[in-house]
Amino acid sequence: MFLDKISPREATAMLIISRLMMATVLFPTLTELGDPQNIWLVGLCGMIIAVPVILLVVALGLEFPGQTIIQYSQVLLGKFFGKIVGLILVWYWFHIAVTSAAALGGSLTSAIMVETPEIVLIGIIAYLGASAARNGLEVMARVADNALWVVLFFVLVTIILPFDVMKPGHLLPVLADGWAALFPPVTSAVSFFMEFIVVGMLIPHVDRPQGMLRYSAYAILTAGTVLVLLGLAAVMVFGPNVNNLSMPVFSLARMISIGRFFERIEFIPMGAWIMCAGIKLSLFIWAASLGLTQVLGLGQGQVLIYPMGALVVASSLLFYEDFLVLIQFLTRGGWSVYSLGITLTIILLLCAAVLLRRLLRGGANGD
Amino acid sequence: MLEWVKALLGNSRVRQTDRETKLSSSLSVNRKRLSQAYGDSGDVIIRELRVGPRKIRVLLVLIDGLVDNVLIAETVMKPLARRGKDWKSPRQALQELSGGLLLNVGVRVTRTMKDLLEDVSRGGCAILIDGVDQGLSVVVPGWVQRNPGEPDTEPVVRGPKEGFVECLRTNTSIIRRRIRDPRLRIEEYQIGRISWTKVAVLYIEGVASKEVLGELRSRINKIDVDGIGESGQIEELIEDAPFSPFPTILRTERPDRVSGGLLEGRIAILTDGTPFALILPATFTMFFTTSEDYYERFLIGTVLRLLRFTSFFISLVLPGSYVALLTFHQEMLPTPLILSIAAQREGVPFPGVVETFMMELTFELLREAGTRLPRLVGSAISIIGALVLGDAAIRAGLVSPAMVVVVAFTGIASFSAPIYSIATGARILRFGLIILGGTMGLFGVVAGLFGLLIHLCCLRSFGTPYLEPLAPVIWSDLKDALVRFPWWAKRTRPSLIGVEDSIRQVSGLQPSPPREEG
Repeated sequence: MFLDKISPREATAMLIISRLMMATVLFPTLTELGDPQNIWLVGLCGMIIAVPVILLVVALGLEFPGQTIIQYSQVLLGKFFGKIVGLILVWYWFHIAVTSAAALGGSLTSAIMVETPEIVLIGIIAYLGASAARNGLEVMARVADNALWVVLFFVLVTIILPFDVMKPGHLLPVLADGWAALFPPVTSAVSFFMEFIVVGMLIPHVDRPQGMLRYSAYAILTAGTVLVLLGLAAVMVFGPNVNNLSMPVFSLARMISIGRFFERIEFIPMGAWIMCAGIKLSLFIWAASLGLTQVLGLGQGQVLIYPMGALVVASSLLFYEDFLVLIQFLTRGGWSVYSLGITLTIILLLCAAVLLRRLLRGGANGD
Repeated sequence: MLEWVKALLGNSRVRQTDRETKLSSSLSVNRKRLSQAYGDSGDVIIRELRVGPRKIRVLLVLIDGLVDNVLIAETVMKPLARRGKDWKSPRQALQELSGGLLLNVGVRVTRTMKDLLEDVSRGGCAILIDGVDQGLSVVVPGWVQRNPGEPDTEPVVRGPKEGFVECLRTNTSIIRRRIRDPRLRIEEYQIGRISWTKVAVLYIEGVASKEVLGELRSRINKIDVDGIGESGQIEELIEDAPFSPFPTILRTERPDRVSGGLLEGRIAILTDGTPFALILPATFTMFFTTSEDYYERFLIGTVLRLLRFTSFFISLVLPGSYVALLTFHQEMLPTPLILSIAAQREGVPFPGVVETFMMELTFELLREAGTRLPRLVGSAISIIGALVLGDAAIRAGLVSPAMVVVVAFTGIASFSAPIYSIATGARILRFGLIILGGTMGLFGVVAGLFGLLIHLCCLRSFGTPYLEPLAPVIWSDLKDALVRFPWWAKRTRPSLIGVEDSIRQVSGLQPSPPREEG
């Protein structure tokens, strides 16, 4: 199961969908820290900063062909520290899956399925995601490859169709509080792109690993562009009130009304959420299971997938009592510090180790 | 010929030891064995002749009704009577008979009882001579068969009106007439311990994938059953996903579809006794194409194809979504529409999901009854269906008119699938989506569709991903999937199927009026 090969484009599709998932639910709520007018600038800065960081991860993967980030961190940092780094990454991916599941459950129960118990919704999607993961990376990649077009279509429809109620004037003034005010929201935007560190697990399974350099940049830029467009549309429609809405994109879909028939199409973002969430859960459950297998040196990895899925469901209800707790964790700086702290430390540590190794080898060769 | 005999010997699994035995040189022994093999069967003719002045004993074995009596008289009896008088020994008789005396091209020498019985069962006349431990068989089939008419299940407006029949040899000849290149290979197998059914595997050498062919051969060789009734049985024994509601092998009655598939690098299986051929590897999009798509001009073909995909989707999700909207998301419908539906449903005593289930079940019952009913009383079903159930149920307040519209629309949509087997898959799934929609609203429907997508992505047909070229996305193959590009733009074969010879035609075939000089 863990030996499947996928194409760089399929890997990109998974990454884009993972990023869009949280955004279609909560973005632009995620930039609550800043002025809504700056939303496009925040998104732009966020993706520009994220590209080089993620490229570092890809470059590390290319340095150790055929090895996942968990495996080569054990080579670079030694067994003990390597395993600790591995465990932290496994936890990080697990936590992302938990957070995504909670976000999906929370948004569905607060917006559409008010009376349905959250565990039913999360359980079903987590089961579907885990079953895709159980069938292998190839299947997950194909699902993502197929779903990406549907999701992009749904999202673009949501962005374009409320054109009649958009007011470009809401976008002004830009940078009212100066550049410094951009710092917290941009950190938040970058921190969400840091989940792309999972590309370290995908690279050994990509049939043309070199292509991932280009394609992971495409992934960030595509996802980033869609987010910027979503943000722009939401701000143009709702103006300064956008920060008070818990799910602006959902509200955006409600604004669509064409010919007094094509209206109230909230199921469009909902369909996109569910698909994105399933794919995202499958990717991160897969990554966490494979990671744990490699940290613990287990042979059979696929047996971990369903238990991991069950843990994700249980934890999503345990970690976040309600939707508000989740939103606060994601928007009040908690997530930024947590996500950036973990990923940047690990990436820099691994890069430093590679450089040190090269220096030492270069010195040895020179002698 | 030798190859054929080898294949026959290699693939038949006839276990009875008496049939494996070699022919004896004593005619009496052979005759006794034959009588044992056939028992008292009334249609078996075993006739002993004494030929020539030396009274050489010759035994003819044939099955009445399987052979052409006139041909037997011309090709077997006449030469025996004319030349038999010159024979000095049984050995000479055999040599002359096998050396061209019998006026038939299909003569073969048999050495075992098994070969002899097989030839007789295929409309052959076996000739045994006393004193020789070999026999001869002449193929003179003469049974009644249907003419190749237009297939009932896949009619077209434009295109050949020829369909397969139940006779394997006629079917292979129909394909040979369409693909005359000798690279068209027809491998024959014999499957079924008791039925001895002939199965032919057709492919074009140098175009069809060797790997797929190897896999198919190994799967066919594994089949060990008592009999094959229809190609559906072979399909179930060799398919990749036996539990999936989606077929992974395409079945068709149309020779043009088979020859089209062969040219793309696919492999076809023809089975004796059924007009349904199997084509593999089959992908999801193939089930929504008709051969007419390729004969009509490409714009029409494309539009019709898109229409079919849409109608399949509608037939899958419409009842489920209707139930979901009715039960959970009334606010999503435009106000006048929901008011109208609410007014209609005022007196209906059942919840939406029960009402939908009832009507869908009724519709399926009507459809099933309509299919099985003798043609002469078929109109009774339409009267009961349309008048009694439809009109009366609404008047009685059991169902709402909107419900009938939904069910009728779903039914029409499901009829537009050109291959019956994919439509039946959707029929089963539709009920699942109704339950999901009735219990969890649109979330359930979307989750169901997502699960379906995962399932479809898991499927493979002989190594080819089922959703190819949609997932994995293969741009060059999208020219003939959801849409159909014009013939002059389709230069290559499907990239995962025609791997051995990917180029199909030269480029630059796009027609244009001649340029005017000066």
